[in-house]
Amino acid sequence: MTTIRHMLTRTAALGLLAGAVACDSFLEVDNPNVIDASTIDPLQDATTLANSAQQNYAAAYGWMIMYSSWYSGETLVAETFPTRNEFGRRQVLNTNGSLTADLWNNITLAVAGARAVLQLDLPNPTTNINVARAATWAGYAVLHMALDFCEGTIAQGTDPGPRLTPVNLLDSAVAYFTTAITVGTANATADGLALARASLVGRARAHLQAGRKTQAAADAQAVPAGFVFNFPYIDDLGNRNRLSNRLWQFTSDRGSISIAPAYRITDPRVKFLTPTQHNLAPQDPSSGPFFIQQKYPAFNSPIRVASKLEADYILAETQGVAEQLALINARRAANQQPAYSGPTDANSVLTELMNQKTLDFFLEGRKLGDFRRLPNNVLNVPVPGTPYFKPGFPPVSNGTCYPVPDDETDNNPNWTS
Amino acid sequence: MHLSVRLAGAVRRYFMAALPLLVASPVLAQTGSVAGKVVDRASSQPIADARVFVTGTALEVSTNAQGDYRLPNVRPGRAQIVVLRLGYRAAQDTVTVVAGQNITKNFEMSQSLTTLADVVVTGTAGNQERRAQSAQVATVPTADLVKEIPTVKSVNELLQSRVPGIAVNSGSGTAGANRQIRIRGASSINLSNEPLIFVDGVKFQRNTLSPGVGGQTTDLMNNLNPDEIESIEVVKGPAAATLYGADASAGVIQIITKRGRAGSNSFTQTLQVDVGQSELDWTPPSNYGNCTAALVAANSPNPLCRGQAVGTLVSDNPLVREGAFQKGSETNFAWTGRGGGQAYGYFLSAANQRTLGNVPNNEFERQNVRSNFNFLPDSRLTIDAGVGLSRTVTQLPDNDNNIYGFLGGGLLGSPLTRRDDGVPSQNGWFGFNRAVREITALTNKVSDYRTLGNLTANYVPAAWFTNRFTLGVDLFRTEVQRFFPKNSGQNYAGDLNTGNNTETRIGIDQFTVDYLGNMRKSFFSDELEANLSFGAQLTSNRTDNTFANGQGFVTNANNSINSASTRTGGQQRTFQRSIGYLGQLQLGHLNRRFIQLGLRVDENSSFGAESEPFYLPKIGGSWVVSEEGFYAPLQRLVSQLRLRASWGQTGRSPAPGASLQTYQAAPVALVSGQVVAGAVPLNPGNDTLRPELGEEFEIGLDATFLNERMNLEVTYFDKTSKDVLLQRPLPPSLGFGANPFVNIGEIKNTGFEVALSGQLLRQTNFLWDFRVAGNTLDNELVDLGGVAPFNTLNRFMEGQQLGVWVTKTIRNINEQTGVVTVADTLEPWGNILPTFEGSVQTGMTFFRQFKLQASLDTKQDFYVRNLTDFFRETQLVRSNRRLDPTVLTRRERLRRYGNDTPGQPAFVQQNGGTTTVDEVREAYLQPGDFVRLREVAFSWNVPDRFLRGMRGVSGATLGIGVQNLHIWTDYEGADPELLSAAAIDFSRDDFLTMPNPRRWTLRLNLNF
Repeated sequence: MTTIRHMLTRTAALGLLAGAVACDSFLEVDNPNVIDASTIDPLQDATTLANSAQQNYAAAYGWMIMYSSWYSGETLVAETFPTRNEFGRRQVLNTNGSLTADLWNNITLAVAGARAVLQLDLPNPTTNINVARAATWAGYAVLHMALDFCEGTIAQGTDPGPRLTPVNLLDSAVAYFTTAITVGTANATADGLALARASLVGRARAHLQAGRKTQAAADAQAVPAGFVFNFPYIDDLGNRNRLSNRLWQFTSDRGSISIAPAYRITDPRVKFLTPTQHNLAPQDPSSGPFFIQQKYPAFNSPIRVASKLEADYILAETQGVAEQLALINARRAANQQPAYSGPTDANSVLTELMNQKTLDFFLEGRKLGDFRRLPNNVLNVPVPGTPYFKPGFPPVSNGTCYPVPDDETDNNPNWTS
Repeated sequence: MHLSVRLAGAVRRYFMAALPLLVASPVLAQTGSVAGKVVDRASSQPIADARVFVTGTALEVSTNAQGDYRLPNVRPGRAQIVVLRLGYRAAQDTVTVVAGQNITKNFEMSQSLTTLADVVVTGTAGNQERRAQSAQVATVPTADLVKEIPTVKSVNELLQSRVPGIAVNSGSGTAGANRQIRIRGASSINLSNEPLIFVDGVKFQRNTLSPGVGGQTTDLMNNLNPDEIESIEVVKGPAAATLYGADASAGVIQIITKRGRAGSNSFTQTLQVDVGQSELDWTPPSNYGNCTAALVAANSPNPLCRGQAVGTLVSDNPLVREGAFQKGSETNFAWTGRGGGQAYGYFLSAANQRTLGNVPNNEFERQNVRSNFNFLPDSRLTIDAGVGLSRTVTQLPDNDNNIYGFLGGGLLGSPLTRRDDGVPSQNGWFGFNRAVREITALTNKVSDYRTLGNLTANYVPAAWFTNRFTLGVDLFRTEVQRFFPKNSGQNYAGDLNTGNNTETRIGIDQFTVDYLGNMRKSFFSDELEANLSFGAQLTSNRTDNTFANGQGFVTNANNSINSASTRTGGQQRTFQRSIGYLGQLQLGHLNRRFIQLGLRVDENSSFGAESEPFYLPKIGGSWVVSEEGFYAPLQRLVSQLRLRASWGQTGRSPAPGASLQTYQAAPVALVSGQVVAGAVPLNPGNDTLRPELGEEFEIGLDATFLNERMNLEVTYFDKTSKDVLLQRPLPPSLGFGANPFVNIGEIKNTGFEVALSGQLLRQTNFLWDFRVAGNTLDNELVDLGGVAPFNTLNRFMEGQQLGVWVTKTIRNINEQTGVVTVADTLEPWGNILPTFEGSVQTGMTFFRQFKLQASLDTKQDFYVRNLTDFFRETQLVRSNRRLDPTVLTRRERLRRYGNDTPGQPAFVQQNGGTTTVDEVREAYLQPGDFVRLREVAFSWNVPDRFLRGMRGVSGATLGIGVQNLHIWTDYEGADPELLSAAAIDFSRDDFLTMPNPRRWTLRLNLNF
């Protein structure tokens, strides 16, 4: 027994001694599931950060399209989330959790991520592709904020940004696009030129929304014929939220998007399947027959971001009836529709131009901005005071844009002060 | 210099000095032994499981079922023998031991509610008599409860309503689901408010795990077999938990397993067999709908509407119609073996429990094996080694916030979708082609495999110097599976119908190394005793989480991830380590006046790089007033009275990596289709991050009166969390994915805890005992450190309870115009934490054979969000309240749904703005106050004469118990105790959650 006791006590004492000696390194641990910021070199990793900024907007873009399609009447909310039905009713409260999590957080991440790249002291800043890329998507993210939100903000480095009106935001977007156009053009690679051209379209849209038709027309005209910039998406089961086409995700996985009755029409630009042509079910059976969109029939369906076609519409909007009718009829002909035969007064033609644009850019997130700019010419938006399409809810309200969520306004001193 | 390095040096120096003492033990002299029997003084019945020890040594044994004990290896000379047993007054005597001889010493113990002589091991440095404890440590006599109350099947049930200040929420009737434990309220906003758990001194990982079924999670406490547990000690707050360091501010629960009977030279066995049943005492509400013109037509497929008038209100109850609920069942088989030899003891146990829930795919199964071995090589050294193995398999049903669940499917369905033509449809359920069979087909299985090991050596080189070393491991592996079977009926969403299997593997390795030394010295003819304790504790936690998902299977049987057409996976790992040093000086005067001073210093790998070590002091005093000379005249009224006061600090550590500035991996899809690495900002970090500081003052008294028939404990506590670890909300526009932890703000919990227990009647053949306990809780967020109130449902705002419910309160209802006017902003509506909880337990023993026990408990002054009704009335209109205008008054309809005039907004704010029921939710924030008849149990100790024919059987107990017999409440939903997201700290939603069933259990205990 004595031997055992001695052995144990000696072992314990030595063990504690060893433990005490090792104490100073005991607390050093690795946590490999986060990226310690100190391990990132902003200059060497600038391409990674710029690409990330692009993907941030690509992810936000899908969310913005989906919610604005509910808000502007392209689609119906075929699911039960109360917060999403607020979009369908055009009454989005600033406490709405979906507004924060799905829209504001994503669009502001897109802005902040791109701006972070632009604030780096990168080499060859006048031709650096990372500058062109970041500026392009900073421009688009700010532009989209201006188009869909009633107000906005742009962070100033690590400090919260000021409260900005849509006009302020559009001006900022123009500045970013200008940088992107300059640097992308100077870069002169295919990538750089594509970004510069996408930025031309974006700047034209920003000018148009701000009422600067001359500048909008100039930019639109500068876009080369046939230009299209698509965001690629991929079918990655493990990264659906970031890399996949959101519209298909919420059609097939969740059953949230049903084509609105006004768009259940025969036009190749509005592709859909009737309930008898598919076997998916809406998440909310109260939402009626489930007409699923087919514009994006897969997780890897690309979404168009910028194109000469949009530039054409922007240009036409700045021009007269004749140019508008020409584009209208060209688009109708291209899509197996008879020539326009309605009234040819300026307002009617503009309405038809917007109708064609809505069809051409169906589920591309343009309709809400167009509606805010031309409320009398953009049709098939849910009408205030009319019953919501599902029972039990209050009637459609008269909102035209989303409020900035209180997660921002409560914590941004520029709002609270 | 780094504190660790400095202290490491000090520890080294101490051990260099102490080494000769430790290793240079004298050669053992020949020893003797002491043996005897411990019996009840009144009845002469043997007392089992009494602790018998020799003071100033490491020797401790326990009595067997016959009350016999034997202390081996006692050194010759005078030895003081002490006997302790809960419910009895301590007994002690001195014997003279002669080398090589056995001394017989019997003890008679008197029943008493006095607890001053009890010894506790938790919240103190070393074993300590309760009389010296300055802060209350509650003890749950687990072994007795398990024996007498058949419905107790888990550690959570052992704690439910037994100790004032501990709130256990039966958040769901789902078998195997998590229960939320809160001790003295909630003291943290963003960190867990769950107490620390120790098993035999080894830190126990208590996570909750879920396959993602919408609400319920499994509970790692369910890995433990209550039959292995001797007792549970609960340290309620920082005043007593200081010595547990920077992670103990939510309290500490110490679980002490059963030990062998060293020296007894005996072996006894018990066999326990349970059978039981459970049944829901609830009928789900029917779904309603008004028939449309198409549905009433003669060729309509809807059997409810066909031939009816348009607008007819029809109803359907798919859960009842298709018999979704079933009677649950329970079987439990447990064996224990206990005994010992000359200088060793052992406890062995094996158990198998199986519970089938009240829906077809809910099942809980547990197997446990434990082996505890204690070895007494001589009077200076004891060694305890224990290994517990468990396997727990929980099949959780989809429910709660989940469209694949039975309740979601049944309660949100519409009668208008019923069809009798065989065409696939919802057919009255919420989901398309998804009824009982398809919901049951979902697999959500959590399989836990756990090994708990501990090795404790108590070494007493001299009567004044004790040492305890503990090494412990908690090795945990779990396999989580969520499987959507492949089907052709489009039963689930999108690609899930091709078969989708998610497999998660989590491994947690947790190590505890603990040393505690204690030096005791008496001065001035034993008038003054100084007791110096010191020690160190290291813990290390490594968590690995790997998951894989596969989609697209050929057959459902072949559902391994490798067999899927599309596969994806991920892995993450975290480390956390802490080291703490503790010291405590206790001064006792005349064994009735005690002062304790203590300090713990902590460092943790999660603290910020610039953060200083964390110093946690404590001070307390205990005064046994009734033993003072001046008290004698009062002895007849209150025979024992102790006053105690304590102040102490503990903390709560941040999560691993919380102090770092981090990015999050975020892949990028290039135009080429290639996917490359990307990163987005995650956390701005905080270099100065340190633990939350919990500070508590408690004061109380323990009194025994009425001839020791009544015992009263009263405690007032005032617990404050400072430097609260808050994830300070950043404006999202800064672009960070997570809010950084900052030390900011203050939270206060105050309250009274009162427990009165006693014997109302004590006669030879009849004993009637009772216990009434209650506690109040005043929880307040005192200071948010300048952060604006946040969260829009369970809000954090100064001056209110944490997570207070908020709503835009209704100011006026105009029944003529239908206009409902509401506040402009969200205003507090009600508590989520009850401000009063109480329980009454009573037991009657007849003829020493029969015992009838009942337990009633209550929670008062809290609100539950009845989200089930909210959805059924305002989002998916299924309730007859909404559809039948005669059910509610106009005023109530306006309150619930707002203005129903076409084209008018539902609610108008005072400032003219409009809002909806999403913000005007007061009708669905309903008082949850309840009184529940929790348990009724009856047990019969079968007399020996009935056992004569049963060879080898020395005792038997037959019991029957019922749980959740009745509830009294005004709550409109199924059960006010429900928590649809039990793992979330600040939420009390009842959302499609299974109510608690009524359970019956029949139990047979046999002793061999």
